[in-house]
Amino acid sequence: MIKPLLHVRDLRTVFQTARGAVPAVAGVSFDLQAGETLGIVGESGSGKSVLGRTIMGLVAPSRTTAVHGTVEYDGTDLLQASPKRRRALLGAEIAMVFQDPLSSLNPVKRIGIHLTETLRQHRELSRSEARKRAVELLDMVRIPEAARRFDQYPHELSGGMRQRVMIAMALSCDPKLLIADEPTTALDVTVQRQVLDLLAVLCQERKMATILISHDLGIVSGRSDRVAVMYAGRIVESAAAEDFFRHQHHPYPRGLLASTPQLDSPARTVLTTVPGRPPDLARWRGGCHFSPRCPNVQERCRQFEPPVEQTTDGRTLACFHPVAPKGGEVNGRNR
Amino acid sequence: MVNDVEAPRRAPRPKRARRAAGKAAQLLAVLLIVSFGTFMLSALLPGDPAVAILGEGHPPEAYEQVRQELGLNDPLLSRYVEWLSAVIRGDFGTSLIPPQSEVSSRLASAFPVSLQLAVMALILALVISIPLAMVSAYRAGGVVDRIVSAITFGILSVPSFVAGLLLIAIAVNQFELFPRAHWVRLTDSVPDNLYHAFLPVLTIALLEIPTFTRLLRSDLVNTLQEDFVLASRAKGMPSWRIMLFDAFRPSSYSIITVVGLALASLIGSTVIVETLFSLPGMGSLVVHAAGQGDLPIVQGAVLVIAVTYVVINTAVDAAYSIVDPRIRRAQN
Amino acid sequence: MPRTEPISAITPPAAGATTAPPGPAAETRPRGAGFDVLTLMCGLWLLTLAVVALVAPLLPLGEHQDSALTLAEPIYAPPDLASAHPLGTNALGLDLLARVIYGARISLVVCISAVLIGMAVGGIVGITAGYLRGKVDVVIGVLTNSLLAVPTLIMLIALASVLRPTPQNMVIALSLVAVPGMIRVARAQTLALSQREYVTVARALGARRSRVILRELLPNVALAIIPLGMIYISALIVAEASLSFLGIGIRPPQPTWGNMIAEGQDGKMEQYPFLVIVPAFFLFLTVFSFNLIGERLRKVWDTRQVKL
Repeated sequence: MIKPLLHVRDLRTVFQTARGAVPAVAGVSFDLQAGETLGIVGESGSGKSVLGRTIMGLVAPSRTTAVHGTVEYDGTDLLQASPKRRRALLGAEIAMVFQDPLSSLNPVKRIGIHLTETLRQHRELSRSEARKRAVELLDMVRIPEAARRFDQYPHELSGGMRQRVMIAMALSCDPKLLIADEPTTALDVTVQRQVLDLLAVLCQERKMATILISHDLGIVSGRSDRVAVMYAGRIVESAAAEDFFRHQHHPYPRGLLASTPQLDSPARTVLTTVPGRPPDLARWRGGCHFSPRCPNVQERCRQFEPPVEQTTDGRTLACFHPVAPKGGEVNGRNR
Repeated sequence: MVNDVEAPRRAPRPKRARRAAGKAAQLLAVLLIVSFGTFMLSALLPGDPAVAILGEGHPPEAYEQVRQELGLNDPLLSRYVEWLSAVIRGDFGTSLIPPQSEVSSRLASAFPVSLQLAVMALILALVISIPLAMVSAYRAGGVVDRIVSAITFGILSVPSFVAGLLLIAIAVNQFELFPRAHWVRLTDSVPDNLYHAFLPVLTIALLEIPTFTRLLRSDLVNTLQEDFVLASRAKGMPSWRIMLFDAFRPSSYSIITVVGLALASLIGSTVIVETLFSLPGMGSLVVHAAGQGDLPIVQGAVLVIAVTYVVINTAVDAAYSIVDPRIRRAQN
Repeated sequence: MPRTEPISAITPPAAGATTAPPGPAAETRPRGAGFDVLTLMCGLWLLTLAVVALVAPLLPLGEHQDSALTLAEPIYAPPDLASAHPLGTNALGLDLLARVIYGARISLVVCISAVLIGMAVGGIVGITAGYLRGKVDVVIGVLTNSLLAVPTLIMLIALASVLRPTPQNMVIALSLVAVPGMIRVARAQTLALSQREYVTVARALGARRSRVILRELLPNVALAIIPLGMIYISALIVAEASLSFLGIGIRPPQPTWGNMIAEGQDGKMEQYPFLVIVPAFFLFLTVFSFNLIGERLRKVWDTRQVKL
C-alpha cells in the first residue's frame, strides 16, 4: 500500500469547560490517500467540525484545550510542527472551506484582497500578477464578471457567490488536501447542489484529496470514495462508499440513512429520526455513547465502550452487536 | 448556474437626502439650544453686571448708563437674537474684567493650544493603547491580559489632577526632567513646544488610555472569534498579520467613535491640565473667567467648544461609514 | 461559533450541545476568587466610608474646619497613627483625618443625590422617549444632545461662574451631567424591551400603557441604569473634586477632597507629601470601588441580558 497523504492516529481534542472536560474528538484514526475523498458525517455536536479544525491545527492547545495524537501530513506531524512550518503548509498544501461564507469572509476586505493575500503569502507574486491570478481563480469557480467582483465587498455578493469565493481562496495555491467543513449548509438548497458539483469537479480535475464534512449523508453519497460516520467524538463506522451505502453494520448509521432526505425529494418531507439526542460528553460515565439511543442495546454496551476494530471487508467498526447483512438485500438507500 | 441573486443595491437617493436634511435640522436645533443656554447664563447671574464692571460706590445713573450700553434693559429674546447675530459674525463682545480685550481674539489665541494638546494626547494615547490592546487580546485571559486589565482599571480611577500633580512632583521637581509653567507656541519653536507639551500631553493621555485599551481589547477579542479569523489562520497567515489586517479594522469602529468624542470633549476637558501646567488654552481661560465672573469669555468659550464638539461628532459619524462598508448599505 | 445546522435530519437540534465552541474559552472561564475578594473589599470600603461620614459629628475627631480653634495645634504635623492627629494636620493645624471624613460627607451626599436625581429624571424621560417614539423622541433626543454637546467640566465651570458654590447648587449642576447618559440608556433599553415578546403579549392582553411601562419596563430599565449610576457616582466625585481643586467648587475652609488636594500645589507637596497623599488616597479608593462595583454589576446585567 502506498504511503497515505494524511495519516491520523488516535486524535483527541478535549475542551475544559465550566461543566467539566468535554472530549469533542475522542480517539479518531484514519488514512487518506492522495486524490481520495473522505466523507465525514455526524449530527451537530458529534465533533466532526472540531476534527476538521484540529487536523488543520486551528484548535490550539491551551489551558482550556488539550490535543493529543498524530496528524501526519506527507511525512510531517502537523501537531508537532513549528508554527512557521505549519503556516507554510496551511493555505498552500492544505486548505479549508468553512460552513458560513458570510462570516468566513472579512466584511471590511474586498473580495480580491482575500485572494491576493493568500497568493502572496505562499507564492512570490507581484501585486499585478496576484491580481491577474485572482481574477482567473474567480473565473474558475464560475463567478460572472470576475474582474468587477474583485473590488466588491463580501456583503455585495449572494451566499452562493461568497462560497465560490471561499472555494477560489482555498484552491488558490493548488493544495493537495482540502477540508470542506459543511461547505453548503448555510446556502439555499438550490445553490447547494451547484456549489457541491463545482467542488467535486474541481477536486477531480486537480486530483485533490478531500475531506467532506457534513451532517447530511445525502451530500456525501456519490461524492466520496469513503464514508466515515462520527458519533460523540468517535468514528463509529467507516467503509468504502459503495460498501457503506450497501450495508451499515452500526445501528447509528443505519438510523441516519433511514432519516436522510434524498436531494430530489420535497424540501419538507417528514423523515424518520433516530430517537433521543447526542449524549452530554461532560457527564458521560462510560459505556457505548450510542447505547441510550440504540435499538439493539445490550447490557455490555451500557458498561463498556466498544473498541474501533477493522473488519474483514476493509471497514472499521465500533460496535459489540453489529447488524449482519441479510443475504443480498439492499438496505437503506433505496427504500 | 448564475441564478444566485445579487444582494439588493442601494436605496434611491431621495431617501438619503431626506435623512441628511433631518440630521442637519437636528444639529442646528442642538446648536441653537446650546447657544440659548449659554446666553441664559447671564440671566442666572446673581447681582448686577453693571456693579461688576464699575465696582461699588458709583451714582445710580452711572450704573443705568452701563446697563443701557450693554442693552440689559431690552427684552430677553431680542437680546438673544442680537447676541446670536453678533456671535455668528464672530463678535463675542469684550471681556468685563481688565484687560478688556476682544473675547474673540482671546479665544483665537487659546483655541490652538487646547487643540494641539488634545490632538497630541489622543495620538499618544492611541500609540500606547493599540499595542496594549493587541497584546491583551492575543491571549485573552492570559497573564499579560490580566496585568494590563488591572493597571488600566487602576488608572481609570486616578483623577487627572492627581495624576498631573504626581507627574509634576516626580518629573519636574524631583528629577528636573521637564520645565514647568511655561508654554512655547508651536509657531515659535517646534522642538521647544514639543518638549514643554510632553508632560501635559502625557497627563491627558493617561486619562484616555484605559478607556481606549479596554474598549479595543474587548472588540478585538470578539473579532478574533469570528470565522473569518479562523479562515485566515487556515490560509497560513501569521498571527501579527491577522491581528493587523483582519481583526483590527473590524474592531476599530467603537474606538473611532470614542476617539472622536474624546477629541471633542478634550478641547474643554484639558482644563485641569492647563491649570496645573499654566498653559494658555481654552480651559484655563474659562476657569479664570469663571473665577472672576467674566461672563462674555465664559459664554464665548462654551459656545466655541460646543460647536467644535458637534462638528467633530458629525464628522465621526461620517467617518464610520468609510471604515465599515456594511454601514453604507445599512443606512438605507 | 459554529452555527447549528439548520436542517438536522436526525434529531431536533441538540439543545444540550455537547461540544464547547473551539474558540478561546478563556472569556467564560470563572474568574479566580481573588477578583471577588477585591469586590468585597471595595464594598466594605464604601460601607465603612459611608457609615463613618454619616456619624462623623459623633466621632472623637480633630477640628476639620474652624482654624480659630486650632491655633494651639501643630501645623503640617506629619501622619502619626499614635498621635492626636493620626493623618497629620494642614497649614492651619486642621486635622486631616477629620477633613477627609467631612470631605467624604460632602462628596458622597452631593454626588449620590445628583446621581439619584439623574436616574429618576433620566429614567422617566428616557422611557417616555423610547415608548412614545415619534416627535417626542426627536425633541428629547435634541435636548439630550444639547446637554452632551458641552463637555462635563466646561458645563460645570460655566454654571459655577454664575451659581454660588453651595452644596445644593452642586447637586443641580452635577445632576445635569448625569441626566443625558441616563436618558440614552433608558431609551435604548425601552426600545429594545418593547420589541420583546412579553411586552407585546402584555399589550395584546389589553394591558394599559401605563401598566405596561410600570410593570414590565421599569424593572428592566432600572437594572440597566443602576450599574451606570455607580459609574456616574465615581465620575461625579471626580468632577466635584476637580471643581474644588480648580477653586470654583465648594470653597475652603469647608473641606472637600478636591480642595484638600489643591492645598498641596505650589511646591507644598514636595515638602509635605501627606497633604496630597491622604485625600488623594481616599479619592482613589472611593472612585476605584464605585468603578469596580459598577463594572461587576454591569457584567451581571449583561449576562442576564443574554439569557433573556
